[in-house]
This record gives sequence, C-alpha cells and structure tokens, in this order.
Amino acid sequence: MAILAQLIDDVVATKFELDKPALSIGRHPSCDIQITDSAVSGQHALIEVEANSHIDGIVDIFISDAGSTNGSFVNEEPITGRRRLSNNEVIRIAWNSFHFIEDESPDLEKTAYTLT
Amino acid sequence: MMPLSHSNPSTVHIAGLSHSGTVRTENEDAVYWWHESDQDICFGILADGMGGHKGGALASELSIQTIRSFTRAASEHFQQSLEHLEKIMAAASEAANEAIQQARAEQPEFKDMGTTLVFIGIWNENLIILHAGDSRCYLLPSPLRDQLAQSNRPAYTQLTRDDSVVQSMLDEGVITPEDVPNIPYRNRLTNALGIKSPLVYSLASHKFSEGSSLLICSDGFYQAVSMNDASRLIYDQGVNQKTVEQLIQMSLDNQTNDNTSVILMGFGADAAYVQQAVPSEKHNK
Repeated sequence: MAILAQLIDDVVATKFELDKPALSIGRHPSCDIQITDSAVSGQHALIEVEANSHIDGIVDIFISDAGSTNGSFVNEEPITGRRRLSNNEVIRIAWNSFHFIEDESPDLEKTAYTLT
Repeated sequence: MMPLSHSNPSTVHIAGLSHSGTVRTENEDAVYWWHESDQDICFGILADGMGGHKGGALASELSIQTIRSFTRAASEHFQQSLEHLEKIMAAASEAANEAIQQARAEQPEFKDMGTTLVFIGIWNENLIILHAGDSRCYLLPSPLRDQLAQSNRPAYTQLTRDDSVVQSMLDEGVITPEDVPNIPYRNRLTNALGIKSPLVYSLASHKFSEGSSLLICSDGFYQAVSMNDASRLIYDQGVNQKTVEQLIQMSLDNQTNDNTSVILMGFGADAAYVQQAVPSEKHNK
C-alpha cells in the first residue's frame, strides 16, 4: 500500500497509509490527514486512489490542490491540476513536506495485453 | 540507404540502424527495408519484439521474414493501385501475426512473445503506414524547413498513435502528458503482432511529397530523445546513414534503457547520399 511519510528536517515523523478512495489534507479536524499549521488551509489538497482500468492490480494515485492559500507542490512544482503521483516524489503542503512511497516497483519490461 | 528509380525523377532514400542500447545486452528490435524493383514499390519495417530474452528477438525477426516473403510473392501480381497495395500489406501483416502465434503455441519458451510493427509502403508518391504497438512514425514535411530556422515550433507530425495503456489513459483524460515519463507501466501495450487473432492494426495512406522525410523509431529512441532535437538534426543533415548514426548516438548519450532503433526515409532531393541497401542484419549492433 502506498504511503505518505511526513518529513520534519528530512526525517520521517509520521506515516499516513493511502487506504481510502479519497483522502483530504488540511488543517480542519475532519481532514483524513490533518496538519495543525496556520499556513495550511482548512481543506488544502485532495488525494485520490483509483484502480487502473487497464491493468489489474495497479492503483493510480492523484493529487490536486483544493484552492489553498499557500499552495501545494510536487517536487517544488506547483500543482495546477490533477497530477498523478510517482514513487519517491516529495509533496509540499504549504511548508510541510511529505515523501510519497509507492509499493509497486517500476516495470520496464514491455508487455502486451489484450483489452476487452 | 537505397536509391529507388521511379517513373518520375523523384527518389526514395532510406537509412536505418538498430542498437541494443546502454542497459540491455539483447537486441529485440529489428529494422529492414527493400525495393520490389519490378513494381517499383519500396517497403520498410521496424519491429520491437517483446516476451523474454529470446522471444522478443524471434518475434521481430519472424515478422520481418514473413512480411518480406509474403510481399515478394504478392507483389508479382500487383494491380498498380493504392487499394491493392494496402491489401497486400494487410495480408502480409496478418501472415506475420499468424506465424508468431503459431510459434507461441508450439514452443513454451516463446508463449509471451509479440512485436510492435511499423510497416511502410511507398509507391509512386503514395505512402502507406500499417501500425500496431507503440513504435512510431513521424513526418517531417518539407515546407517547414524554412519556418524551423526562424522559430522553435516543432517541425514534425506524429502519424501513428501508440497502442499503449498510457495513450488510453491520456485519451480518457486520466493523466496528463507531463505524467507520462514517470509512469512505471508506460511500456504496457494494448495491441501488438502475435497477441490477437485476427490482427488489429491501423492503416493510413498519405501523399509523400517532394522533400519530405519520415522518421520511424522504437520507444527506446523516442523516450530518450526530444523530437525537436531529432527533427532539427534531420533537417540540417538530410536522410543518410551518418544522420541515423547520430540519432542513435543521441539516444545512447541520453542513457536509453531499452533497445533503440531508427529508420529514415527521404523522398526526393533532400537525401544527399546514395548507397546500396544492405540487409537489416548488418544494421543491427
């Protein structure tokens, strides 16, 4: 299962398992991943976990900014739309950093599937 | 490279190369081209095999051998029409599809093999492209040469559409083009030769105008080399073996993690050098 590992001074402080179809990130207590930081908006960002419709057993994970004041970033690039997350990318929510860790290893072998 | 004498003064020049790349020791790609001189038809094939250590190389070679044999026999009865040439190319590709499926069924070690295919036919000024898989064909049209010198606009058009999971997800709007380089399953195909019966393919015909060039390549090339850089080199240097060697070297310098292959075809005056064509085996490094 993919996780978000919160980094404080580049050390993993807390791990969040991405175990629901949609996880909200923000300062509000109702958020799945709550960050008690005044720079973080109440509803700051959204993580979506979706089964790949073409390959059995593969899950794609997307992040989008929820109209936050101080922005959301992947590898220091602002998130402007819905963006697919890849293994080892660093997400920044305002000034809070998370390491995205995907349990699927890259598969570089070419394979052909028959779609129905 | 191959000069082809047509009834008109135009000439087709071809150069190609395939390389195992910087990571893999086995080359599962194959390139080949030939001229049916009696009918004045020029054919070219790029195939990127898959399915394990030996299977991939066998599938790409089997597709080339089968298609060449089929077209050689069928071309003797060529009816001098675009429609008939399309039928010959489709039937040849279906024969290759069946040959690969038969080998898969007979030999357990080849049970997962298949290959992509870009199969080009040029007759008079007609260009036919038969495609399955994720190898690509780009057109570099002649009139853009001057525009390219004055702007940074891409001077190429992709004539084929990848049969890949990533392309399907792009079509559905699930991912953006910026996501593609980081997707671990970007090499997963939705179609290839040897996978389905009957063969599913796309077939398109175009006019191949004087001064235009074609770049046919495997994913090991286009995933490592920017098409802006590639098209600029081709416009600068023309269609010749030296250009092909430099293109392949670009992909090697960029540490391509797959086999990398290129065929260039130039129609008309753009091709600067003339050499005799040689079989693809001599072009595989």
